[in-house]
Amino acid sequence: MKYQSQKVAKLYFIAAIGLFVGQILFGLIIGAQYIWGDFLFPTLPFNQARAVHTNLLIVWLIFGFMGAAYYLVPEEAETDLVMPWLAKLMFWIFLAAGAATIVGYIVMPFADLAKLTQNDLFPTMGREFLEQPTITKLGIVVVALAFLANIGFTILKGRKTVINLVLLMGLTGLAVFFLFAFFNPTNIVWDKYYWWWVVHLWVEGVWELILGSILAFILIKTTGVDREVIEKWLYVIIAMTLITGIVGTGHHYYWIGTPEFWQWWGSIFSALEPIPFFMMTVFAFNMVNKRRRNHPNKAAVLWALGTAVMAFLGAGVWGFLHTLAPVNYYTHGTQITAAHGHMAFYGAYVMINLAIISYAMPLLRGREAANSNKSQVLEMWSFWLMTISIVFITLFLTAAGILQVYLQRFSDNPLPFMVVQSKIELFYVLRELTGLVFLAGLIVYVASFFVGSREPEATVEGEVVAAS
Amino acid sequence: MNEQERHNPGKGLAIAGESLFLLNLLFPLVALLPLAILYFRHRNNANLLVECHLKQPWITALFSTGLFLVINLVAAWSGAYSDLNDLVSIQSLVALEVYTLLVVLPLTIPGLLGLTKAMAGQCYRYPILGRFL
Repeated sequence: MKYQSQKVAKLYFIAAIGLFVGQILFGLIIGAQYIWGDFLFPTLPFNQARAVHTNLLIVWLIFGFMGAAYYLVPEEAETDLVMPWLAKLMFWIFLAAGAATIVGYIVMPFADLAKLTQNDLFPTMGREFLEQPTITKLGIVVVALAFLANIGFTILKGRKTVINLVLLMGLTGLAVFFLFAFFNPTNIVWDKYYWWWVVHLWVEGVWELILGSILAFILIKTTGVDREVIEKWLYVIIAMTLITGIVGTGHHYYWIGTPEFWQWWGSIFSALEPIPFFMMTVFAFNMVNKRRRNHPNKAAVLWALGTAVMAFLGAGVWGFLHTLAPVNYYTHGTQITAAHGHMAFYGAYVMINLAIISYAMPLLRGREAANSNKSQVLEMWSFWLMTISIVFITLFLTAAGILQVYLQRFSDNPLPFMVVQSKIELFYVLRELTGLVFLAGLIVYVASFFVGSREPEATVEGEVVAAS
Repeated sequence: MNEQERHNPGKGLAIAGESLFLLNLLFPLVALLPLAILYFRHRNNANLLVECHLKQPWITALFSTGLFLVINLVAAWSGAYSDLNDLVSIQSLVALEVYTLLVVLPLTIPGLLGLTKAMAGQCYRYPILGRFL
């Protein structure tokens, strides 16, 4: 680690992993509720547990992105963070606000939480993924502004690299598009229209810029390939991301009351959305194949390559499966969407966070370049356990979705929603079992931070390669 | 001949072979013709890199295109494409989904790895199918 202020990233990474564990536990609870409808009812109804599952995902990913930014920006800018104290302060505020909101979701119904937080004064609650009380949303804006100021001024003060600037662009976009969470029109078409400006333009827009820049940083560090080569790839990838992703928002506008032309625009542009993910995969493997050195942190390289492949499969291929308007007419809102959501989020954003944590944590904990072999072996086990589990979760949900489409929307005698749910229960059981394997992988991942921590660090040909 | 080609003859052909294979997955038949021309012009090339990244894509592309045709013939037999003014039917949509899930998905990753290996000037054998070629 070159700069002392990079240390603040450690706090963010630890919180991210803690919240990740919480997200998976709640995922298992709602997975069980798909099988036993009254599991934990009325203590923890499905809608509340689902909100915790999805909100924890978003919050821990953002914690991870912030940690990544606090780690890589000083190194790229070749200067310390301008306000490390602010980064620490904002960490505790964000964590406290996030924890209070999650506790609120769990201990009381949404209506009571809305009343308690004075939602009537400025109503913003009640929409999927944006369930947070208005006061929490305002807190998020404050944290985001402080974070952007810290990162932005550090970049202004130091060296400006493509990685830093793309990352800053992505993080600024993340903050700007969140502002649409405050726009809550009474017209439901307008409401949905702008709701997607947060949800879609995050995950299929600006978050991809964050993903690309973190991936590029890890590849520069672990492969030693010239920065210029990696930066050229990054330019093309982010251009393709924005070209396809922005108009690709149209694939959410097919059936919400917007004009029919969106069925064409949405279909065409979102069919092109796999291209940046495809390029990212070619980019990552190409850089590793052309590497100038073998980095001792093999786990970080594995996560980086895994990110590229799984993001392409989850976001690219599974997205394409149901993105064309005539196909989406049948598949909209079925388990096929859930299959895509699980693999895309894991492949693109969970894995990139785990990749940067895997690269940075050994350095933040005082290692020269990498963890011990024992620790890395454990981490790679966790990689395979979690990745294979998510592949099977996706396949089971896809099978459930296909059956759901047939029984509920296509057959000569379409069945009601809940009847179909009972008919596809087998797939939910299989998904839950696979979810338990995922949890086992996550436990192994957490254990990898403790096992082998006193052993000497891994080397390449008997010699430690210092992170540069 | 550029510097890279001098060091690694056949690299361009290898990249072209893998790229056309991937393109043929997206646009079946369209990219098969240039891939066929490339293969038949260079099939006796002794360069190991060319053999590796041309023969495999060619045979696998024939396999994927064959599956594409079979899937669409089954769709046509069950009523798709009967009206040329209305090509979007449930049968043609199912054919598209089946092709994407069963053909594009399993063959894209080997093609992608093949392309990156070709770009690095290394040989690569596709899993399973590559063992038979």
